[in-house]
Amino acid sequence: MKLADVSIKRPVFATMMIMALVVLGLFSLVKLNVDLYPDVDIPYVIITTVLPGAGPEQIETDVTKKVEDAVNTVAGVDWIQSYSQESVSLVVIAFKLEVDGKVAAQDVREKISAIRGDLPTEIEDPIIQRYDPASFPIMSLTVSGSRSEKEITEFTKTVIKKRLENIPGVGAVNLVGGAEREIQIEVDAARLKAFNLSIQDVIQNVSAQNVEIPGGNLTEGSRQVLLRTMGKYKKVEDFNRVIVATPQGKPVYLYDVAKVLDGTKEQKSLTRVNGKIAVGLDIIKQSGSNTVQVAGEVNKQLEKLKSEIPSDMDIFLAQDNSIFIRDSINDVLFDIFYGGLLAILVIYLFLANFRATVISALALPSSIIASFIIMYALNFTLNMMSLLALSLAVGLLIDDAIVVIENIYRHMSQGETPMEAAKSASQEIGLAVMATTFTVVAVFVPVAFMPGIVGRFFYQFGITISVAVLVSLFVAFTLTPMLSSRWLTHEDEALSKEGNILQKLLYYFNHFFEILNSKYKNALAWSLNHRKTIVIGAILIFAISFMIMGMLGSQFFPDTDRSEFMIEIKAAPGSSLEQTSKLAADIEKMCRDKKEVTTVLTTIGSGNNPVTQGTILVKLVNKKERTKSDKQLMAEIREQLKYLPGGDFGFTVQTMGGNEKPVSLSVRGEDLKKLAEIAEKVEAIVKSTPGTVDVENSLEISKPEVRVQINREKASDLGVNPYLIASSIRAMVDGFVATQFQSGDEQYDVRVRLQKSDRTKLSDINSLTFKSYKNRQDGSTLIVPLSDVATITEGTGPSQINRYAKQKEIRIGANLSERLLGEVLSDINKKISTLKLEPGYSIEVVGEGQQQEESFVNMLLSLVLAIVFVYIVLAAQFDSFVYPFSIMLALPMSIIGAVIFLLIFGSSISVISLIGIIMLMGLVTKNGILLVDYTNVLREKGLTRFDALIQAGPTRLRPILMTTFAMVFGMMPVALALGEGSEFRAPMGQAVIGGLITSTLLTLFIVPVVYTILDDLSLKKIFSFLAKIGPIKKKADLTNKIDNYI
Amino acid sequence: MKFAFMVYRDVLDDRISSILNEIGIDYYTEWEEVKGKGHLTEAHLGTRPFPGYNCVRMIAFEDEGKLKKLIEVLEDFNKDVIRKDDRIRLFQLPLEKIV
Repeated sequence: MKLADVSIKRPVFATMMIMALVVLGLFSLVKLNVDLYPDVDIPYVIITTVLPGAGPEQIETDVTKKVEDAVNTVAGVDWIQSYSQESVSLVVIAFKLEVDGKVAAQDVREKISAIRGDLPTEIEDPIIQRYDPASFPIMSLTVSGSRSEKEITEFTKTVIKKRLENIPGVGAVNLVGGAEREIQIEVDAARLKAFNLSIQDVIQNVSAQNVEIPGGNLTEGSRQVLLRTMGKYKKVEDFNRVIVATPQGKPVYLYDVAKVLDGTKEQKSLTRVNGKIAVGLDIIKQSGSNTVQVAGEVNKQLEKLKSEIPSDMDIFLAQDNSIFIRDSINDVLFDIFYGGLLAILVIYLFLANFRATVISALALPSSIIASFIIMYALNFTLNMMSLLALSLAVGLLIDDAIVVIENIYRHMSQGETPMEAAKSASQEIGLAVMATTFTVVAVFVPVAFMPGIVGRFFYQFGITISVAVLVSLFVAFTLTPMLSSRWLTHEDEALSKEGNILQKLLYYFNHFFEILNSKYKNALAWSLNHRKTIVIGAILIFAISFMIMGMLGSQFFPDTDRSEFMIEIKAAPGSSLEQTSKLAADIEKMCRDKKEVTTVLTTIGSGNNPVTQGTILVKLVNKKERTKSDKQLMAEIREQLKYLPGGDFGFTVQTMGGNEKPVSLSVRGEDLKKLAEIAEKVEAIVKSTPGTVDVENSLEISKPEVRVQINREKASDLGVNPYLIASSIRAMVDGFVATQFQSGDEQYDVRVRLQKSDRTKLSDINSLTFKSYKNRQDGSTLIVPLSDVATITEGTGPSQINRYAKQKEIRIGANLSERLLGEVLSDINKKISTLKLEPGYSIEVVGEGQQQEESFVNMLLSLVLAIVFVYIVLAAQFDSFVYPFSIMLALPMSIIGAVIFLLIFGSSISVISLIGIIMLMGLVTKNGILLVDYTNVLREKGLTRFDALIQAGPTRLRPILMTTFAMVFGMMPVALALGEGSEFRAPMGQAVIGGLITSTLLTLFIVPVVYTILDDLSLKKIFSFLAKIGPIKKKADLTNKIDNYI
Repeated sequence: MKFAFMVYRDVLDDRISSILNEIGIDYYTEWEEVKGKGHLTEAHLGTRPFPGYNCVRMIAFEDEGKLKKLIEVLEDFNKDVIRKDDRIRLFQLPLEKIV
């Protein structure tokens, strides 16, 4: 072992090598960003197109379908999903994961600009965005007070928002709710008619008479002067002087037909915090900036702002993602620290030597710190996945050092000096240590490159753990032998029954270990003489583990209590903002009455959502400060909501799978009516399946609407066209932003629309008038009432039309209560398979269920790949095709322990516990390697197979148990899930601990037995092969010889 | 004049150097990574089952007093050794001429 020899000979060189790694590691650590999850590029592109005033059906036909057709031809599209709702078309294009999101977005942009001419002219420019997890708000603030909403909004927009936008790392600050200033021109329909004018006249003149256009430069000799036309109004009242028309030379002013008001925009959204109306501010960080750092800066600025804002206003921090990140990171650091400490204590117990313990313990921090170099080089962040890797690796990183130092110690006890022992022990154990480390790497590299989104999330996990164990191997061959050669002494710490408690403990432990060792020797001899019994026992245990696995439920990711949840409100179709707000207020009260609730933040109609939809974010006190879980509180509120009429309610919790409902079924086909019938049946099935709550059907067909059916012949005869009618109706009812009014640095919309009393009843719509391009016989303009050119009917229509893969879709979603996703979906699938569907109609499990299935398949592939890699590494290391099989027999023996522990802790089969089981494949081979490696050495030295096994087993028992216990105790804090959000990673620790314990106990007997069986097979086969081709005549004699040898 | 060959495990090389230094022997020829096996001791072949090598030092003595001193020190050393493998062997031969 050259590396160890050089390190022993040149201690300063060895120290400096490790020192360099530690210094670089610490330097990298300071530069590493902190985030909750790895920054994963999910190549989704979202196209939002707004067509004001259009119904879902019109949006679907005129916008959504055209957009879908255009983008479908872009290379790499996986699937397309769309939502057509009132005024808004939302098309989500999911690209295959290997596609670069930026390139995909650019391709989509090109396709959309190519069809821009085919889309309705009234649409606002389509917004094409790449899905970016960094674009979600990291913090939400609310501003409230006793002033008017308009004043608060104005102050928030002009002062607070601007101050926050200037903080380094803040990408955007979005205003939610509030009452934004707007200049409103409220037109009187009757007066408009009396003056023989149309609303278009008002819009055109308001727009044309509020202009400021640069006129170029005047060059007068050597002087150049800028020319500007100053046509903008300075005061709101000035709009009254707009001349709308000049019939017979007499001007008609705006005040003749309309009122000009300095008002607020029609409220379409609302924010309320703890029952108080407020203006919300969502803070979005810049892509690549550090969430915790940005949140820290925002918090500092907020403290300043609080002292500067008027006393009758209040800023409240409603949501701060950095708190959960900080808590989670601190929790993982807690796991790393205490896990490491426990592992070190285990070593001390076994070695009973302070110096040897310190030497092996040094491997731990140096390996972890050095790993940060690669993390920084690969642009990783300190997140739940990378830190989870380090917390799980704690017990593992010390392993190599333990094995090396234990061997050094053993050599020293045989009379070698520390220097000599360090040299010879490193050389002797080198191959085994390398083999154990490489098998761990062989397991985690496939995990890092697992396909699917889950694989992307586990990339940093797999690489971090692989790097950390490789560094620990380097430390074990440099720092450990070097320090052992210089610092270890022959003098053991006194192991005495008579000494202090520690000495007594060490004495009895080591005494017990000696007894255990001799018992093991006897038991091993018995096993080798009863090979059949051992093999049958092993097969039985393996079979039982699958039976127990069947008793475990399955879910995508373990449930996590994040001390918050959301209540989704869907008020009855057609409800106004006030009605939805009233409904939300009742729910807020229910929540605030619970002592565990700290904050209730309500948002209605945010983003592109209609006023009938809202969410209530309910924040709870810390998990440790309450007796009820988030699930229990949700169940209590759900029970109360049963008696609240006026809407549908659902609960969502943020998980790794997003905040979609876990049960999600997609019903697809072409005819919406038939789809609705099928969806109804599916909904009934989901509702009747035990374990489902908050069942939701995405189709709402009862949205009331007024339909204007234009009679094209009549319209043509009377000189009006459908476009004029439709655009005028929109301007009269919804309003039209004719121009902008400038006040100071701010610009405000000037909206022209009919006064409220002229646009509330159905009869008002009937009497709307339009200006014809034909004139009356007297030469005056012909004004046409709507009732002359169209029929108006009332009806109901869908409030949202969903499509998936260019087919209409209805989603049935549900939350889970007291049952796991796997079981519930299995029951639902059984019932659904009995439904008879017409051709062209299908039902498919989507969302978390689909992701779970895909992920489990991908993980199974990773597991197979890991096993193959482990074999390759072992075969290469031992230069044998056969021995790796005896070592790998430990793998199935680990499953029994993993499933038993998951069952005891009440955990399930999930992506996290499966990663634990894959991890086991790398860890449990270690014991076999140590055993088989030494057996081979002893056999080469001339010992018989039996003697070699009987000697190797007890010799290697100490390092095997030391490393196993170090790993078990190192992972103990993870498995016990003590901190905030720690339930997420606990099943991994539980599976690993259980698997390690059983595989260690069982492999101590099974590996030697299988070693002899495979050895027999290989010998017999080789000799029988030689007998066939060679001149061996005395076949019987030879077989006897082989049997004797065996 | 005498000629001495010392054969020992490579891990003892530093210790041999310090012994020679103490006696004042600053002349020798050394072979490193030499394979070998002693009677009833482990072989040192640089392989996994038989790890480690031996070292050989060849020393020509004009002053036989130093050789005697060296033999005394090595005999003392070998008395304290627990494992036979760790003993240092010295082979003494007559030397006819040094040029």
